[in-house]
Amino acid sequence: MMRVKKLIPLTIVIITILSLPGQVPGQACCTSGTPILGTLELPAGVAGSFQTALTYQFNTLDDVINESTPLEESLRRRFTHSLVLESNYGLSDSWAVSGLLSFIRQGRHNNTLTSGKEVLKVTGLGDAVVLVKYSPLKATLFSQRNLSVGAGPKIPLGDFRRRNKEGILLPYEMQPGTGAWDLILWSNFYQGFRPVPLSIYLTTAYRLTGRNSLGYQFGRELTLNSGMTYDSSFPVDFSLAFKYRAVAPDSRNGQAIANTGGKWLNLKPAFYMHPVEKFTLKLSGQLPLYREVNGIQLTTSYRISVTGLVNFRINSQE
Amino acid sequence: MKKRKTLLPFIILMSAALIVGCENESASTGTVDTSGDGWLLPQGAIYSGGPGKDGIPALSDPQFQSASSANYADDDLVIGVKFGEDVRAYPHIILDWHEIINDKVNGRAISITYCPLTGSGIGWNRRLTAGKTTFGVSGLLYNNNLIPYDRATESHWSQMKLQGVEGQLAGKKADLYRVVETEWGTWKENFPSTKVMTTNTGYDRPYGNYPYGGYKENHQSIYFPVTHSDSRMKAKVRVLGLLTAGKAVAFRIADFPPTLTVLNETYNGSPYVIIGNSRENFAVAYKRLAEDGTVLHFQPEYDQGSIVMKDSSGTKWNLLGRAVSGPLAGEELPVTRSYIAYWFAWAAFNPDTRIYSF
Repeated sequence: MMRVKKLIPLTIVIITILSLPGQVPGQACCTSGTPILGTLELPAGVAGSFQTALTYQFNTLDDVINESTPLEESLRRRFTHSLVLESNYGLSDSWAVSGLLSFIRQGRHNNTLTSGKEVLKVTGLGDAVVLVKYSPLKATLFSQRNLSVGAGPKIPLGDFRRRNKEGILLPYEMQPGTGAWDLILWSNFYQGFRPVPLSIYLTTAYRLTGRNSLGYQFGRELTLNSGMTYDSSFPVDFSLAFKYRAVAPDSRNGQAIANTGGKWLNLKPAFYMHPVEKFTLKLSGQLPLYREVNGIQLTTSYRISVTGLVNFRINSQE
Repeated sequence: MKKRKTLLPFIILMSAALIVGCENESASTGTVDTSGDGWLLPQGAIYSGGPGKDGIPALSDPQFQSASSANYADDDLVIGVKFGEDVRAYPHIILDWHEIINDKVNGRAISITYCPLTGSGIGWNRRLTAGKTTFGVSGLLYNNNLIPYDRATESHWSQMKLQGVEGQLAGKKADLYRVVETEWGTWKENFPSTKVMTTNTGYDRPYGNYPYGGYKENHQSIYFPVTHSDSRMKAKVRVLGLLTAGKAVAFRIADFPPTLTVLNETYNGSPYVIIGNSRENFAVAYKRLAEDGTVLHFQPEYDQGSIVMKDSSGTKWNLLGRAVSGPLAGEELPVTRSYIAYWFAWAAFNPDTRIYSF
């Protein structure tokens, strides 16, 4: 037990250190993409348990920021609709495997002087993730503490060579996929305080990005989600979290691209409902508290998401 | 079974939300709408820079101030023009953010086009066969170079290729105006009556902050693939490129002596004069022909009124290739198809370029 306790800060420190993005001065236009890391939330679970979460997320990029200063700008706007399916299966009480599939629809609106609003829309299967998770510390009747760590590849299922009808390659950040294999490191820590119906959690994910065959490499990315959940006696539970995201600049053939990457701190309120047994409906939002981007970028104004989570056991004796 | 029934509407709802989205548009999925008659460039070598059409806003009706009231640094690069007594300078620190400035100078409709990724500054007549127009930034790049579009016909143009490359005006040559790219200190010393554009553009931009990080100093950093690479010089070396009837010629600006230098050269039977000074960071090229077709021969001559050379008749000529005094006073040397650009970009557009040896 003592050894396990030591593992908690160690794991968090290792992932955090590994994931600090290099601060290379950095262009293109924005830092966005399929919200894969922000969606990885399912803990390892127990043997035979199966969880599936389907998340719809709407992300709108309406704000232009110069480093940390907002600029007056209404020339363009971007949005992303994504559907992310994450499933988690408990191989044993300590080991689990997770898979994530994404489907994305993103668009860009430009207010032009001649042709009015010009719209570019791209729809397609995004990249996928497979994670193997291990729980060195499980919550029990006597301990309300749970730690899961995981690692696995992000698989480049999404198309990254999408062209318009004239044969011109669409911008990298508008492609459904990245075209690169990445390594994902992940951890989730939970602490309950029963009988007080309060718990805290920290989910950390780091994406060590690879380079695609066009020589483009998205910036390494770290996300930290830290918050508390209040399990009320009402039909609706509530959580409030802070989400920190740091992304290194993208690069092409090893050279940093300006105006990509940055740091974002967001507030994430969420409501949970349990309309039927073993089914949870989660509504959440994300509002920016602090944004510091490299150069000038069009960046996220807000996100909203809806998640349906089903939790059941396979080969259950019940 | 009951549970499955409960979940079904939820899944349908989320799927529908994704497909329909929060938008209600009848737009093109996965395409950009442009009505084109085909490109004169290989489409596979055209890239979308990111911001999209007009995402980098071209400017029109710029505002100006006198040289004495401006506080630009003497070593800030500017693009200068002079028509009659109207002398104007357009600073790079503004062009870096807007790339195109549509202006009217002493009755001349001009677009100053500047591509920060290729370091190329060129002045275009914006009176086209289709009428007077303005140019905008299409968001597309070829060899990392700006592809403007004209707002009269929506035709695309290649800045460094100096011609229309898609649309109704594909194949049309750009009509160039004489411009000089040099440092602000040099320009205002030569043309003290110059006005200079202000940063009061109507757009909220951090003018003075270069928008591409370390790009212009980093010879390894080229954002998009080019059609031809040439390692004879480092990528971001600034050259004056001259298109002749035969091979193009590149003059490395840093290789000019630090004093006023005038080169009388002949390429493929056409006589050219190239004027440069590495200390003052400029180079320009004209055809050395008088209006009657006489081939002129120049030597450097510094004098008041921006005079930089004189010919064998004693006529004195200024930096813009205009005869200021002497027998040929009032004449102008013919404009060449030449401009300053980063070497990698010039070489990509002109693979067989000969490099001038000083």
